Amino acid sequence: MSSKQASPLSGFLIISGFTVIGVSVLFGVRAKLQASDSHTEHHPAWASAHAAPHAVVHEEVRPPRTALTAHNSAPRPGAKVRTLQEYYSRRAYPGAPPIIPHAIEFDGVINDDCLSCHKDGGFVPEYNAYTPITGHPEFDNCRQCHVPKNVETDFVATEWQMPALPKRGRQAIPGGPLQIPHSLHFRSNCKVCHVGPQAVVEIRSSHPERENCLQCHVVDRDIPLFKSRIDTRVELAHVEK
Amino acid sequence: MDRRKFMKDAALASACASAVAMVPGVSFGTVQEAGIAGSGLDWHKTPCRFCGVGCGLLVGVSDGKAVAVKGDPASSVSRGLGCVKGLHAVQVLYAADRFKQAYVKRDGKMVPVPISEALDLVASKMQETIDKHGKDSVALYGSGQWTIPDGYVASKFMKGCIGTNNLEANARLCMASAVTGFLTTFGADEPMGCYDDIEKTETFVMWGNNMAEMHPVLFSRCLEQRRRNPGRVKIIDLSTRATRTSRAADYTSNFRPQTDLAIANAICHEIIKNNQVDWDFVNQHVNFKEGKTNIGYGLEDHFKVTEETRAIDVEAYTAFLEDYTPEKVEKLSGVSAYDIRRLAAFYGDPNRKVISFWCMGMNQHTRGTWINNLVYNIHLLTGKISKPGDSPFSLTGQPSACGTVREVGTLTHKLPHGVVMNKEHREFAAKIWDVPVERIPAKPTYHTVEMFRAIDRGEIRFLWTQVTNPMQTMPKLGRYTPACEKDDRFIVVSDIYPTPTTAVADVILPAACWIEREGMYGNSERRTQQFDQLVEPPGEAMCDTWQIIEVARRMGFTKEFPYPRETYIKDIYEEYCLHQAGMKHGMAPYDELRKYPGLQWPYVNGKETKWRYNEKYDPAVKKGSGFEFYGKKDGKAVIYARPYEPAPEEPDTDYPFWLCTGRVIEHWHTGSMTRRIPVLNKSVPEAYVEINPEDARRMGIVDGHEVRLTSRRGTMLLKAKINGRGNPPSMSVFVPFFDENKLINHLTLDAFDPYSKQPDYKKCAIKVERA
Repeated sequence: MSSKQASPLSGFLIISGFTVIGVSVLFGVRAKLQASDSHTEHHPAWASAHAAPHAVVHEEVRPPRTALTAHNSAPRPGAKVRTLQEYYSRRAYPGAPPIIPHAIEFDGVINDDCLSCHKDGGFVPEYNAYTPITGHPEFDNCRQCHVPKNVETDFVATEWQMPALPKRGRQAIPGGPLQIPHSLHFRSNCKVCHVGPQAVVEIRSSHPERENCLQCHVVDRDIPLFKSRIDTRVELAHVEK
Repeated sequence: MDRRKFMKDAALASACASAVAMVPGVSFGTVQEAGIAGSGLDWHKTPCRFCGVGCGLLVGVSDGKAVAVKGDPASSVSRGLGCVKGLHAVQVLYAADRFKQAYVKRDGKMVPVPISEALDLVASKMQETIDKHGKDSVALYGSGQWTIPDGYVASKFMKGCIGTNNLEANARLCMASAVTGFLTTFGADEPMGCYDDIEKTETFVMWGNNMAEMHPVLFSRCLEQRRRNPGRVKIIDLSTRATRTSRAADYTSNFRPQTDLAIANAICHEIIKNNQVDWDFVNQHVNFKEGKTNIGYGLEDHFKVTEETRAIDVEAYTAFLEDYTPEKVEKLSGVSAYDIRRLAAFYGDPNRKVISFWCMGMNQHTRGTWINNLVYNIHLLTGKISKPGDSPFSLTGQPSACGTVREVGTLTHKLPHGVVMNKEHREFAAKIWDVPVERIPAKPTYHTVEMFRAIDRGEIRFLWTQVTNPMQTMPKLGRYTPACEKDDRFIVVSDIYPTPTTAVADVILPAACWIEREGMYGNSERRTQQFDQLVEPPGEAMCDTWQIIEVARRMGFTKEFPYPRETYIKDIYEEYCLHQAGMKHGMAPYDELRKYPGLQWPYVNGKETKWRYNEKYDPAVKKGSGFEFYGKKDGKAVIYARPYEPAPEEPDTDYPFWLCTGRVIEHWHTGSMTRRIPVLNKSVPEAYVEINPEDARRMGIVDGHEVRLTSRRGTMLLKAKINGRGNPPSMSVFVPFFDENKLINHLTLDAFDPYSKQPDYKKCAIKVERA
């Protein structure tokens, strides 16, 4: 005789507070680090010095860029530039989740606290740098993978060594599009590292106006060369005779 | 800025945004993940080394070393995600103080010896102890981190060859109450549902479970489910302190320790009162029972209690619940009657699917069996069980607590199939093992706490531990560490790094870790997960399975351990599968296991069983019955009337604070692995004590101050953490147990659940002073 009835929850819409004293204080977010001027100030000329050094640039076939520099320009003068060396210094191996390199006011962060800065990025005067943008804003349990560095020392020494870094500058033929030297798993948002003032300087795209990155760039894999099965069968048939 | 420029910039911004949107459409099949050119990496699947979630990882190997990790997109568990521990797991293998050779104690010093010599000594010492003091004077203590073959050969060796039931595992400290909960309510161990329930439910109730830190990847799946169903999906947190999970929850209630028993009963009281019982389900599939009360706490040696149950009717059960009205329970628990009614409404709403999640909060509990029973009561009354999205789900803490300890049965009373007390079960095991049935003793001997008490008393003289660290994890270490240090106790420890347990060892055997050998784990949702050997173990380090085989052969059991070195893992697994054959627990064939990130049992006719006991999904259920809880003879689950009983040691005027112990996301259990991962140690380098901010202010303690904690068993200094990631209510504190230099278990109490024999690490009385 189980009967379907209207949801009895309708009377319980008021969200109850925490019963722990002082918890509301803990919900403070690092609002002061929010800044959003990255798209409002611009530097007029394309700064070729900031093109990825490995890029083979064929200027003549590129569309004029004069008005398309905002996202790929040099950061504001004097602002700290994100380098590959710094990028790797925060990871145990290429592809590892980076540590949190700055102080955290409240250790209990979850959900939107990190994303308030790292979702859209922007210039942070406090650090004189542009906030790195997350490639996966859809995941909001940030501390699942990212932890701060509170001490410099190890528990015991480790014999771990950073493995070989992805090799940059690979092209199938001279002048061909660069091949992607890393997996796209969790690194499928090209913009995060390759486009914009927060991008890593050595690997910035020379053509941020192009939308469909995978139109030209493919992941370079160690996959055996194509071998026709039909040929093999013919050969075998031939051999059998 | 002029308008024209603004327009151009705006166009570019939207172009960049759409570029972002286009790329994630790429699928990450295993072929695409195959070695990236020039990286020199080969990627191989493996389950994670750490918790019981069982995330699928891909480990990158280069030049014989494991050098990188990523989430395995093919894993149905983690779907390409990992947590910070798993994503750095390969670094566990490479700390500088790794044991690469065996050590033997000579003149009070550990000296390196060839491993063959150490194995000779272990075998001869074990034999000598048996000859002198009897078979029950030797014991093997393993782990929920044992792979299935490790546990299987351990059981065969101890029960089938030596002939003693002195076999236990650390899962007694973490999962035993879940097991007795399952057995008493359903007659069969392990969850009926699976992780797929997360994407099918509308309500998550976390019972004393800080899932954001302890089972983070599953918690991310819960958050994702809520994000995709805004307004409908709710996360409800019931806990004894505010945690990251509390902060992510829609509703949170802090209850006084131990009163979860009363809250669960109050929920059932409301469900019956509001006529939200699924009577069709209850009448067909449920019996009502009551059991013994005032069952004690196991504080004294040789403690024993026997359960006596009686059938009762619904009226008697309803009358029993009259003591648990929301108003009465509010006084006891500190949770408002309003909050209790809201929770009952979530469970009772017939149009709402509900999952209950729990782990150590309910299991490390002197009434752990009862609270497991009581949460099942809620799901049985409402019929919200064994259906997609409706699931009481007991999570585990170790990668193979289910797969090895519970399924292989490496506990004193267990056999791979059934229990030692049952003659047919003994005969069945003896037949597969090809040993005389008389060799398997019919009486269980010591559960874990009693095993260490027996070492203290001198009944056990020889102990071999593998993949575990009891000198950090046992409660009341002040008794059990000196017990192992006594003169005529011989302690053998198989491990990969120095720990407080290797510090009391007479022999240290260097072990191969995780992907340095072949094996398989079994996770919380009945999923068996195989991994190949991907790298060579360092020096003379040896697989735990092979260590046991070597010692067994030295003791003359060559016929019982015939497996050749090349294929022993597969051979042992296939022999183990004979024990579990059938529709209720059939295991996937080894070659299938190798192909997938994991496969669930019961594996019947090439198919996994996702929801047990439900005719639609489980081929073992009698046709036409709808549901059949076939662990019980009459196919009916049991609703138990279990009362609230207080904890054995509650705060008083001398010791006015509650002490709760547990984990942090960075460190896993005793930290012997995670502290050697630089990223994790740098994040949380030492243990601390979380204190309520008001209490701290009153006592003049500021963040980082040294604080003295004292219980009736021990005292220690810890740094205060105020307004950290967790925040305990007034007059309670929390300390993580990973730090070997701050052994909080010197303070904890060795009381245990009388049925499961699992100790309670979450509740004892202490005093807190400014140092």
